[in-house]
Amino acid sequence: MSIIIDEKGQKIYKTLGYMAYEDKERADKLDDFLKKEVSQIEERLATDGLLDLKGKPGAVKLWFNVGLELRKLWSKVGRDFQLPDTLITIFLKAVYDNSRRMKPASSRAERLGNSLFYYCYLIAGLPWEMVEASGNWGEWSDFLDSKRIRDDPRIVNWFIDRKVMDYRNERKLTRHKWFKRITKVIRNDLRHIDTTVLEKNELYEKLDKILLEAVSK
Amino acid sequence: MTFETDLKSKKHGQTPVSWENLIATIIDQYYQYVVDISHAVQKDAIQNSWDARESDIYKWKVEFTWMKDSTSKKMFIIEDYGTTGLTGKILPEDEYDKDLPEEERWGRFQGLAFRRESTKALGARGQGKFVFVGASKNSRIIYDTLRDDGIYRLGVRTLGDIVELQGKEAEDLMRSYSPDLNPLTHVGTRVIIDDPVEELEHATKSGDFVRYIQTTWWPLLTDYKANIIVKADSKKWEVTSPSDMIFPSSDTKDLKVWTKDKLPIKRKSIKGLRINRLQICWNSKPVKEDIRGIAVVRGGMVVENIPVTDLLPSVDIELSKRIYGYVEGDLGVQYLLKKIEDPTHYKFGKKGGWGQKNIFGAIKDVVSGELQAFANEKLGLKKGTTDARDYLTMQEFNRIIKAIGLSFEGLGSGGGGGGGGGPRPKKLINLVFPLPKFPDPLRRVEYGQEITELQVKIVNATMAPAIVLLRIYTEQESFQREVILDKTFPPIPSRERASDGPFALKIEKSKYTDGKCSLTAKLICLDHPDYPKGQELDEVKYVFWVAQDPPFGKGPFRKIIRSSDVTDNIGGKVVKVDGKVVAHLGGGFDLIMNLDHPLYKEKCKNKDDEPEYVIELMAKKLPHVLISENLEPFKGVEDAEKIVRLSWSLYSEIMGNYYS
Repeated sequence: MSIIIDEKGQKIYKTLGYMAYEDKERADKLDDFLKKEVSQIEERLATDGLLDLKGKPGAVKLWFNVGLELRKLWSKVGRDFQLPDTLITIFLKAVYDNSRRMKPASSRAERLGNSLFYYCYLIAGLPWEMVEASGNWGEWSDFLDSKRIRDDPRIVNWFIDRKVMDYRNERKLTRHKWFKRITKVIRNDLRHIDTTVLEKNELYEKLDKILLEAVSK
Repeated sequence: MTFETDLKSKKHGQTPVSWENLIATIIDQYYQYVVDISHAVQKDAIQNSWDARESDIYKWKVEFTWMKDSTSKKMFIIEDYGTTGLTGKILPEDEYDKDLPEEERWGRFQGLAFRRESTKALGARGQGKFVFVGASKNSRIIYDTLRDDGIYRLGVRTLGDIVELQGKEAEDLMRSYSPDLNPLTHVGTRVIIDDPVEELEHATKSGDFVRYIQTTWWPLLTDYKANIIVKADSKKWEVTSPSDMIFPSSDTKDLKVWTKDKLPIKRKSIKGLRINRLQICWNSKPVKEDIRGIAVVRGGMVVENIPVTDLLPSVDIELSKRIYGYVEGDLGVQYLLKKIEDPTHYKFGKKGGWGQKNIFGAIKDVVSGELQAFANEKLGLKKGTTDARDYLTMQEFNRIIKAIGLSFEGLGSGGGGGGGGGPRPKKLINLVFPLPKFPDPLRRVEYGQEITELQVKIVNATMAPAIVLLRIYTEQESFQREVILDKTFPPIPSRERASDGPFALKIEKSKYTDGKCSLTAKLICLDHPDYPKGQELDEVKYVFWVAQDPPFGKGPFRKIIRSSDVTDNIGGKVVKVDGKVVAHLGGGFDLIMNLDHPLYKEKCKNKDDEPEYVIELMAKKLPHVLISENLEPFKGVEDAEKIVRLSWSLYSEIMGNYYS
């Protein structure tokens, strides 16, 4: 089980366990496959005019669509090349290494657990209307920078279920300022709490309190 | 009116002290080093008593007794003989703020913390008595003393609350505590741990307590035939030196010994320091874990055992299980060691001022060299020893350049290794997760190999029971790789402990990739009145390396290559040089050392000379690295004269630090 990634300018085979020649052959095939697939994804994004949004207001639409493409690609690769779920961050790094036009400029793109492509992958699991209504790309990125939020998808579900963005009207805040405030309060209040041990109602109760705190402050 | 007079006229208060937290914090410090608090009880008890011994040391005796009296009250009694007792007067409250003289033993036993200036005394900061309080389920100790002037005194401490009585009142209170105990009738001191924790009961009855004394105090037991008795129910042990800690005068079939006396220690600031005796022994069979390594002895007490793997990093793990020994310095060395000893008496500080090596580091160097020589000469250990020596030398060089402020960030394959181990912030509900056994001392684990002896202990030092979840897992490439344990513990009562393990972790090919990996144990609250559900109570993390060597740290050199043909082209002329640097694949540099150069032949006449020579060579070649990487202090410098000047001052600084 091997994936080719770039490490400091050198192509390396990232392998589960010792590498066998069979792994190398399969990794080479995967690399060729990714080159073609990523190029086609870029072509589609360009045709839809989405690549032009890179670095501009509204870029969240581009990254959401990148996320949708990555989800489809991961599902295909997982099936055809039998990659286990634990390799998703390395797979996304390989996609990044093979991309040209959709490659983000920021250095964070090269990271693993909190890379830009991983965030794209995560937000593409949410309804687009909600993503669009909630925040711009910078705001979403701040939100997902919290490992706590990334590790427990129920927090994002709560965010949608409770229509958290609607509460900005109560404080007469801009969308940007409200998103920033709620993100900060969630991150601070959950800093030392492992939410995964909480039942859904316990988690929602805790988050509701946090929301109340953010509204009343 | 001045500020001082104005201030005096105001109402004053004392800083409130949470005694519960204070005791828990102190106990937690001990749990960094021991898995059973009974170990700390015996260590502090004997140390206090030995410090108070009368001049005739053969009259000195300590008795430890676990008992249940006729009213079913459980107690653990520490009683000493041939000591001065707790001398000094009962002090008014304000006197406790002063640093009391050592004769005021009563006052010092009551107070919080005092420095100790005497070089002969073992104790240092007076926190040991709180171990006794921490070993009592109700945080209570009763102590009485009879002095040679006939004064009898009794004290009762419950957390921070103290009652102190003298004469008849004291005798009456002692009798009312237990119908089976009378006031002391001999000069000395008795400390009673009321309602002792289960660990203490178990250790005493099982004989573990005797073993703890043997492995801590064997120099005292051997040299002075110290009289120490342990009693529990109807059993009685007279503690003797451990039968497995033996050093024959010459090699036998099963034991090989290495004895060195009067070994000099290199310290620039103090001349003439010596190791009085170093003894290392190899047993043909693995020895018990509690004596493995080289014990650093101070005043008859084993303070810390240096693992063999710390002294010879590439030694085979199986060999390291067969080696034990000790090192004891002269009075000057012991004085310096005492100054850097941790208040728990289980560890020495590892750093000197300005990043320099302290006396412990200097001792370690000598022991490392001797152990290497022993391994080479008597155990036929050739393979890997040069690598191990090089590893230590490069570590030493990295320490020096860090101390003088040079940075090699971004040179490639740097980054630390290890992790865990060091002191952590103290928590009231905490996790003791000692470093597990790695198959390789450098924490490199091959696929299919196991990390063993993963053991955990959870300490609930709060006043309420706690339900907790313990998660042990590995992480690699920012992703959780494997959950080793996900266990909810039944309620752990207040001031009690729970434990689990040992278990092993096999590094499966199907789950891990080459490179850095972390092993984390995390404690999460599920139910406790003081913490919300989900609260992360404590965490311990260790880093290891899958199928890969750990990096050498943030230093310039990666490898030392020995060659007999090292030349350089200087102005068109090929010149034989002492060494040169070349780029290392993957970042950093290799040092090629010319074994045929006259300088090497002159300076490395025996095997122990080489590390010093390598350090000097690296110091000489370092400017080459810094210039080629355009790093400070050579950044942007092109003037040849300035380069030469900078090179020499850098060399002087490195060598100055090395020898100091």
